[in-house]
Amino acid sequence: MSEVTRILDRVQRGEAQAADELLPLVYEELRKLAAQKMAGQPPGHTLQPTALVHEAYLRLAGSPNPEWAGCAHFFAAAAEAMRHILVDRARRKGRLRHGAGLQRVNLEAFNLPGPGDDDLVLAVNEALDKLAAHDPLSAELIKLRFFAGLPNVEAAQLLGLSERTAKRTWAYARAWLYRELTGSA
Amino acid sequence: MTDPRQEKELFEQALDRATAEERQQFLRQACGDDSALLARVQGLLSALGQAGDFLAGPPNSQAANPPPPEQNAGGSATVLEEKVGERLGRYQLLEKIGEGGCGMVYMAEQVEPVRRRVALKVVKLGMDTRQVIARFEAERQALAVMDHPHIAKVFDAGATATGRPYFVMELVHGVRITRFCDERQLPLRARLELLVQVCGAIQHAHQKGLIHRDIKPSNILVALSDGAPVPKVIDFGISKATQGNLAEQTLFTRFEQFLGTPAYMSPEQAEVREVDIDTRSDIYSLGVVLYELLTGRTPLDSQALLKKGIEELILALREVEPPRPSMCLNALALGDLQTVARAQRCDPSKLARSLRGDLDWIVMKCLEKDRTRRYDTVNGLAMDLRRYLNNEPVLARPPTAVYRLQKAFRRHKAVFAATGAVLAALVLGLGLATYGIIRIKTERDIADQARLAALAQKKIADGQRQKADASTQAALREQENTRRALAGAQTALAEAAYREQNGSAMKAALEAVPLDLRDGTWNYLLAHADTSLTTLSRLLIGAAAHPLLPGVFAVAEAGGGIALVEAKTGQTLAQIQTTPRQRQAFYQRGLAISPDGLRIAAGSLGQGGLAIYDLRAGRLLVEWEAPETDLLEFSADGGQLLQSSSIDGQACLWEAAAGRLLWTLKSSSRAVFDPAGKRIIATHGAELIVLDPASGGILKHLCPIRSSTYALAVRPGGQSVVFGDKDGYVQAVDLKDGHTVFERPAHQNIIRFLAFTADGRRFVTVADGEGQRQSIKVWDAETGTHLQSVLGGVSQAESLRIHPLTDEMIITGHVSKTWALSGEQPKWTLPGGATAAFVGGSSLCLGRTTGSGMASFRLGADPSAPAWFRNEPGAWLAAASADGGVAAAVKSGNLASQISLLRRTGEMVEESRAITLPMAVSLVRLSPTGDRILTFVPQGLCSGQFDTATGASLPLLAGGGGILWINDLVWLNRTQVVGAVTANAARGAPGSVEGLVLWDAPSGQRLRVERCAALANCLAQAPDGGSFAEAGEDKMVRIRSAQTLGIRSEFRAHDASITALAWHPARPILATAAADLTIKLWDLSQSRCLKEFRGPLKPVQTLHFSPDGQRLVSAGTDGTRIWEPVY
Repeated sequence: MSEVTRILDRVQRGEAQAADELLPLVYEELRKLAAQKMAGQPPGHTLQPTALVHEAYLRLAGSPNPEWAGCAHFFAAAAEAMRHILVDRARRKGRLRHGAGLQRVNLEAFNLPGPGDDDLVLAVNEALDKLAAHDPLSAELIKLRFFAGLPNVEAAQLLGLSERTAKRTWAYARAWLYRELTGSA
Repeated sequence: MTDPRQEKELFEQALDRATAEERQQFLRQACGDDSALLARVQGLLSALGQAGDFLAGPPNSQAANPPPPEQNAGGSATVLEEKVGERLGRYQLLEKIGEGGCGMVYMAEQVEPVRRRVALKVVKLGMDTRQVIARFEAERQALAVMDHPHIAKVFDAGATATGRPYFVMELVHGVRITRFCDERQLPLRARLELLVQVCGAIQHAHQKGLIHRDIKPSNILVALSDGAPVPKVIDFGISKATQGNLAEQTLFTRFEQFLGTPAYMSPEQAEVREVDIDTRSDIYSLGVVLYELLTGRTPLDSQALLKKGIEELILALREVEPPRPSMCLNALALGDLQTVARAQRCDPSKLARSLRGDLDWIVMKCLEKDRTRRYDTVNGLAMDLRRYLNNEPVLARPPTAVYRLQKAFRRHKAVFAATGAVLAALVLGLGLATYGIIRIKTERDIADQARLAALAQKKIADGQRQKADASTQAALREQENTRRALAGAQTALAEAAYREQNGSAMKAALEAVPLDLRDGTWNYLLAHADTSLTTLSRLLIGAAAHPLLPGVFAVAEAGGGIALVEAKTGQTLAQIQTTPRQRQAFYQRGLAISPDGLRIAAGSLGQGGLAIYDLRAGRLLVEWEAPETDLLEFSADGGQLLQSSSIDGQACLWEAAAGRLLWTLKSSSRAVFDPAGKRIIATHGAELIVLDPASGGILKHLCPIRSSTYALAVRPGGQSVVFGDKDGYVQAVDLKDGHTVFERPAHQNIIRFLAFTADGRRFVTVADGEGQRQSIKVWDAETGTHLQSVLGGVSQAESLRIHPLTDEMIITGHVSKTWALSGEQPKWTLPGGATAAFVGGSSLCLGRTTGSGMASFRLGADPSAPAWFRNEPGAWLAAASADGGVAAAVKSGNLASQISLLRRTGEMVEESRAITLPMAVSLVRLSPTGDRILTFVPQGLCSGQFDTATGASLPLLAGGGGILWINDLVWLNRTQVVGAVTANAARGAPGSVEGLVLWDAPSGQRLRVERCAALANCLAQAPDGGSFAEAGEDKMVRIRSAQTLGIRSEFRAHDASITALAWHPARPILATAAADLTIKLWDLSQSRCLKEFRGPLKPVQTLHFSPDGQRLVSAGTDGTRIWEPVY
């Protein structure tokens, strides 16, 4: 049984602090995976976060667990990890661009999304904290869909929402964020 | 500060309201006097409207994002939406009147130089304003000269304070054309007249050099003027300005464009590469609008397609032939059909009929993928619509033979291009200036080209004989190239003729291929050119058969004689001498054998009357005077004889013993007994009726028939009656309640005969083909699915009989032929299943995509009772190891897939272990001994590997190299795995690469990669592991080396893309299944087809041999069949 599976089992049994142990593991795995995948790829090449997350799962929790209900926790952790990775990368690239970071950064590992939307990643990230303050559900949905790239159906199932509710929540979250980012109204 | 939760609640509730007005009304009520809350929720709603695909995908798919935050960071420009009351240049915004994908539309007042109401459209953010306006200015001149009552004028363009482009147009009060027609329940005629007016407007613009590019119902508004509907086309010149040059478009705007109205977009507009869009693109869009006016639907369900992705949509626009309008209606659920019919004030049963024929063809001509096949001008379309309205023949016609040949040529362009190139070389070389005019301009010229090439070749040969000493090696090489190109062209011609079902043309083309150039495809085509058993090279008319005479048909010969001939050999076994009266009439058109097999009845053309003979003794029993005969049939008890005569248009029932007339039914072209002999089904005028044989009285009016019907047969079992009409349609009607079971176009011309096979599962139609040929097709009796076309028919058919015992078929005529229709039947048929695998010799695992989930069956016992099953709905996959020891049952879901590993212990199958993965699995493969299992995760782009004994995760198969999808995966031996993969882009999309990858399973490392020219769908490994078979879209099977992945041999196996393969565990036999609905067994040592099975009505997705090779399972969505082939 892998470490991740063990942790997920503990989460299942109700050990709340176990969930905190999950994040660093998933985060490390995703980073490693991203670096490995990007190595040897031409510049500008992108990877689907969904693919990464799924593959990370196969590696971390590949061993079986017949009545496995822990995947919701796994994906929540993976979405959070993806968010960290993307934000981290966007910040580093920003520093580089502004001449601040002269030290060489292992960019490959973070070259996940295509060029040009680092600002968006950072902006969404910041606004997300604000959204989470009054509407944690919408914020969680944004993480799963935007950062982990999960389709609506899957995100809805993970959050225990009906598809329709997830759609409405998504509409609200998008509108709210858009308003927040554009400063309109 | 408002409570954000309240804000969210109101926002979501407002979203449930359909229109902007309803939302506003709701919000005003809900917010009461809390104007701050109202403003905030309104702000959210407009933010949603502007958000476009903001955050629609993960960050890396957002090539262009609408809100770069700094752009709006400071200043007053943060207000994105114009407000009513605001002024834009010379225009004051009065009221918002619309909101579309492209932007907002306002009613505005122009103050100077004239005071007038206008429509003002503000284009949404994300477009380059300067470019939009520059493009608009470029067209302004043309727009200015456009003056047509049905075109809304475009006055002006400008930019708002926030830098968004806007357009000013004539204000049109009206509703979109589709809504107008439906709300006012406009009947068909009025709809067409309206569209003719629209055509006039578009034609006017085209003459001024303007293409609309965005014709759709929302751009054709209709209002009543003096009680008459007047259409106005809006937005002329705007789509050009906003779409601009496709090359300039970012992915974002392109996507946006698709999101809007892809349903009306022409295939060339959907091209990713830059294509010049011309007036014919508008004709396509008009065709879509016409389609929608007729059927209430667009030809392609673009929204559903878009959900599958843009590639899917583009592919569909380019490739998918939409159903004809009438067929679209036929496919509708009754409720939907009634809605469409009500909107046209038409009887639902008549609706499809009214579209069939001319209107179908007019619409389909507009919707041709190849624009050169569409109407040349909008005027052409308008004229045809007018012709239709005036009951004149329309120009749009069903695709002709020539057209379909051309389509075949298009598919073989390369070959023809080669011919052309060689030809050019010849022309230059010989200095035959007169041939200089030959150029490949259109495919239409290609047939001529081939003829001319042959001529040129002959000249070359002559020339070379004359100047033998002057001939050089180069000339010889050229000659050889020509020879090869011509051989290729002939093979392609044969293939085209095959599609045309023209066996004789096929043979002629194949014969023209030189002996040394006859390849696998040539042999394949030759074998299909004529599938008949034997030819009886003399004129035969009537035919009859009886179960007591297996393999024998009674046929009527010229001169009045009746012969018994053997179907296989054509040999005459016996003859019956007819009476002088019948001989005088020369031909017996109707023959029937009594149910007891003792008597044969013969009915003549002309004055020959009817006669009944003792079949064994060959002597006359009774003879009487009667009208001319077309068809004869005994009643089930043999006591009555039913005679139909289309010449006299009547049916007569005779008492068979003495020839007494019981009754006559006038105005009937065909009458048949039902199998029980209790009823007679007959055409009567324009309807189908059920008669009481005793009285001749009408028991029931079954259904109307649309045109003359001569081919009529009751399905054995008596559930339904199937008939074919003058226009080539077949229709099946339930005998109980008269409802139509299916109705479809079957042939281009009149259907002459229709008959069922003995088991009632299939029926055959014989129709006049092109020229003198018969067109012979086999159909599934349940669904009306076309199963097979039978080749070899020659001249006009005189009669059709299918032997009730042996399923041999005879079609008589100037040349008569027999065919064998019987095929091997599956030993068992189980419902459902898309994947299946044997566990041992007699246990079968079946994965079902619908219904009862997964089941394992013990064959031999009652296969309907599964030995092990999981009755959970979901998509189930089945797989088994080659030794049959281990099987996997996989329930694949979006969030979790459960892999149940089953082990065979003796005759039992037991579940031994389960593995759960939190993702969908699309493919599972067990290693030969079942110790490892591979799973392919579609979104993970990787293949997982697990130990089946412990469930432990083993190394993944290395992805990378741009691999996006694994189409199939097989274990070659205990350690090596080969996969057919698609890389770089979705299959078929530009840039996609197909290939084979060889992996070392223990390490997951890639060992070898080989690119494939064709799209590989499926793989099968040889039992010795030294080679494997690969097949796919190009109908060829390739045997490849397991070491090098190189091709060892290849052969043509099917008429459509190959969907499944299986290699016999002990013998060099390969099973193939294809979208042509056949399963074939091939002797690989000779590339020879051993067996052909028919039965599946949907393409087979899985083929699998039992470990002992005795059984073969084929599984597809329409069922799972287990065959026991005898070699």
